[in-house]
Amino acid sequence: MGVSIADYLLELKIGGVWTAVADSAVLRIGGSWKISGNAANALAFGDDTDATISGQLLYSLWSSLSYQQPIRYTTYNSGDTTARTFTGVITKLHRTLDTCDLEAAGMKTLIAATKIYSPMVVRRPAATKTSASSVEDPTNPAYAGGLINYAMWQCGGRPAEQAGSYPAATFYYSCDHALIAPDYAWLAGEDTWAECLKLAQASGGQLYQDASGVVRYRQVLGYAGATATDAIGNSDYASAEETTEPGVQHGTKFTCQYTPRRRLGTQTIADDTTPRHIEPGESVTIVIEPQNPIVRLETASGGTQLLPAALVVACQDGTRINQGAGGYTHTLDVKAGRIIITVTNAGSLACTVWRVTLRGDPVVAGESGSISAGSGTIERQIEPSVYIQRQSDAGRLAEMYAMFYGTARPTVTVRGCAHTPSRAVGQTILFSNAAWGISSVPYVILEIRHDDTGLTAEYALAYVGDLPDMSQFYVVGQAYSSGDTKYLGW
Amino acid sequence: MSYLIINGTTYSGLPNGTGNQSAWQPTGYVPKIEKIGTTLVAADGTHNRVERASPKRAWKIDWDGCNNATRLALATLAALGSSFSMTDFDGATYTCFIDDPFEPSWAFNDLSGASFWACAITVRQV
Repeated sequence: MGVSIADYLLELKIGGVWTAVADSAVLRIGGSWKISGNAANALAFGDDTDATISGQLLYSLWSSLSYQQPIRYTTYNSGDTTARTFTGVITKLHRTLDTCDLEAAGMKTLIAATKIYSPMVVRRPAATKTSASSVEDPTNPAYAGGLINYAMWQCGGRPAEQAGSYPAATFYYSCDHALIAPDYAWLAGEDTWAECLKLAQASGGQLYQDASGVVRYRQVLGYAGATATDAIGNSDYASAEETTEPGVQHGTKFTCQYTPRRRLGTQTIADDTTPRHIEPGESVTIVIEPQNPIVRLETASGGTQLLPAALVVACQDGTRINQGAGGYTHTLDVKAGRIIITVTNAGSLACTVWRVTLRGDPVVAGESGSISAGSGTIERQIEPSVYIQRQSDAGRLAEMYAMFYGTARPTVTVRGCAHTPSRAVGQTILFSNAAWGISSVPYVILEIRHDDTGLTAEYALAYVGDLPDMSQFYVVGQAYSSGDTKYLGW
Repeated sequence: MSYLIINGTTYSGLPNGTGNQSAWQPTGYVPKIEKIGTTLVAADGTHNRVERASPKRAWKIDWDGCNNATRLALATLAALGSSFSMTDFDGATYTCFIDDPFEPSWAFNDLSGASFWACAITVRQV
């Protein structure tokens, strides 16, 4: 008989400070953490995780709770360790005469709600590896991060590897190097989380939030190569069941569509003739969303000012007003899908912006094509993505789909386990089951359901022993020695 | 000899008139240590016990036939809306509360006509 001691800590962020909830005020906490975006398949590209908790507290805490308030939950087991089990924001509140109930979801709620316009990112991996020294601030001239890195930063995230430098970050993120680098990628104010998932799907990766609240981009290839230090065996669970139900995800031949993007020469990208009246000392903000995203906007030297010909500004009597003191000044915010010009009347007479003519280098879609990988009668069409722009990328993705989805991958669920705080979704463990003849075989954790305020748990697992892993490939930036035999890539 | 001390009252009285006649000694006393946790029995029979750090205690205490003053003291105790201290027969003191309803039942009258009561309380550590 194994005996372990369990404990828990629930914290609320009140006034910007994490504040512990008295243990005696917590009646029950339970929750789950699972890969959910593509639940029909155990290991799906573009998957994300849903991390949620629900809890019941004494009514006395009601006044301390608010919608979208940050909350975190830590559990301890003497046979394991103390680890964060959930970090997120409150999404639902409910009260009775005696108790209050809450539900909380992960940080993706905040990320999805943040609309981002990005500059055009040219031939850069969808995500770039974060490290203690990686340049993540887009305002840094040396910045060369991927679009997922950019999105995370703009949403208030900071690299987890540099957490010490950003103690007040809204959340932290950590990225692997993505395998695919689209020719042109940009964000144009859509659901940021959904766009990042599309990027992950196009590059054979997964995007998820871990229990510490860290949003991670991870290559699915990394699963099989991970070293397992934890195990789940016959003495750890009360029941186990295995289900194979890949549905439409399973196939033997995969076709991937691609649509090339190309940069055109400098040309007029916007010609706005809406008159905008400006009183002396006042400003007007003009938002231009060009028909096609742009790589570059034609500006005066320095890139912060438009050429004089771009803006036609005149007084009421028709006298043309020039840039500069006594005329008008302006600021410029250029993104791939949106240009914001703020014009200020620096003169003493009212004026009107009669016309805005912008020139730049747009990116347009070319003729679509497709490429297939695998063979056989079960053919599947990979969902088209704006980020699959080259035949070679489409070919890689089709090859990866054929590899990952060519096998109907079963899901194993084990129930009646003691909650082990250190276990995480995406972690590789060694699974054993005497009845099925499985002994210390690598499985990846797809879902953790914890309950009874950190006492019990159940897990969903997927076999990954047959998958290729990163160590079988040459990876740019790593050192190799003579005689190494590896694949060049997909 | 130790006595139960509940909410400052020492339950030391005996029917022979000795001790605190407003709080007689009980005739039944069952202490219980309640562990907080769960036991998970694995498929191979292994018992996995997950335990909270602190167990909680409870005491079932009863009187076969206490005097009226003792019944009134117990009624007051059971009606308390806040926690109170209790020192058990081992001399350890705990913060406690009574959740259950107090339901004394008449036992008998003596020759003088005084009533005696059967009472029971369950005191729980909070």
